[in-house]
Amino acid sequence: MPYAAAGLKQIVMCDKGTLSTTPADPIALGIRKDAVLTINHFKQVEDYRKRKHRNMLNFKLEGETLQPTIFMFKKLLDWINGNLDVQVITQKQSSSNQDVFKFNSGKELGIDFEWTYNQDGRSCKITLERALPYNDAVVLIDAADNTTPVSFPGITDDGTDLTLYRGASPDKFEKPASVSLGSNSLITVRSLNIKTESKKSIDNLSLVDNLIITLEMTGREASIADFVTRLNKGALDGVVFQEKNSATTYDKFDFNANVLSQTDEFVINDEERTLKIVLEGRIPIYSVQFLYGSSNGGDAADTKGTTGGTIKFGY
Amino acid sequence: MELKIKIAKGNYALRTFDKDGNEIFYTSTRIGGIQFDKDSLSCSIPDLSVTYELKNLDNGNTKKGNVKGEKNVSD
Repeated sequence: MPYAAAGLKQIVMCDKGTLSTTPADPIALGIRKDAVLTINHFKQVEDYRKRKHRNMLNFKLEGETLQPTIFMFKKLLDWINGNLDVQVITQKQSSSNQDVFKFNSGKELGIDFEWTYNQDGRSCKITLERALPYNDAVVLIDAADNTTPVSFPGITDDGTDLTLYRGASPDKFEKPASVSLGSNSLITVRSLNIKTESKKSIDNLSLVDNLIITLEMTGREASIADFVTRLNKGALDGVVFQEKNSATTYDKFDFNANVLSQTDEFVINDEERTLKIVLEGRIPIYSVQFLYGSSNGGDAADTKGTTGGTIKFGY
Repeated sequence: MELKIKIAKGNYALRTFDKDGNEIFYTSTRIGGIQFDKDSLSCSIPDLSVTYELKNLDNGNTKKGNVKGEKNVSD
């Protein structure tokens, strides 16, 4: 038997029903951290002799892309509840062959994601999962080593796109809007985390209802006056979190009043003196709006949010 | 309908496509979806199938054709 080489080469998502024709809005994970495709049994049925019988097979694809954009955020929300096609290509298994898994045409995967901007960079961990009836799963697996992969215009063989990779570039952290929470140079922790909250369908497909939002900042601007100022803020004021993409573009997360609550912590110990704020809340997926163009963080010609944009929550 | 293609016995993957070119059916000898009878293979395929693609899993050679152009029980 030939040696099976490890690795996933390309993972691309696109609009549902378009993979087999003209893929619409394809997005690759591209530059990423680890990715893994796992196929295993799902809800095996155990009998009185403790034998586990076949039921469904579960497909789970996880990957953390370092190419998150406002466009990707918009598409991830469009694609929830199995509303996307996915193609996964493994590393080559010989000089000319590779395995190709196509999740489309009734075999679409559910999606969950966790979006993180912090001092360590920007990423989005995407989990795609669904269990398929055994025979359908076997057909999908069997086809993987003899399927011709779909090519996506503008996407390289592994999806790498340096124009979409952006490191940490703190710009604004305001509560309420236009009132800064502190000087970037005195902040020790600054993070934004947005993740899906979902329930599973009978075939293990995530059905997403809400986004769980958590913003955090810890800083050394921790005088008594600073703490009092923090405590005097409105409990449910609006919040703005913004990262620069270039000198003129940015990703802006604009949370309306009453979306995020405020929790404070003041610590003085022998090593440091800090003031921490945690802003958190849950928001329905359809209470999210997207704005593009030069007045909203993007390039003037960018109508999708690839260069930057604004996401408004709870308006 | 039943599709019959005159070809030597071997390991094959069979796909069929509808009038718009969308893949609507897949099977292979590995999963027992293709039968052989003397000098031809046979397989039950969806009625909406218009074209097919038969790939030899041993050497990668591919044969393409129109379902109606082959000998099948609907002819």
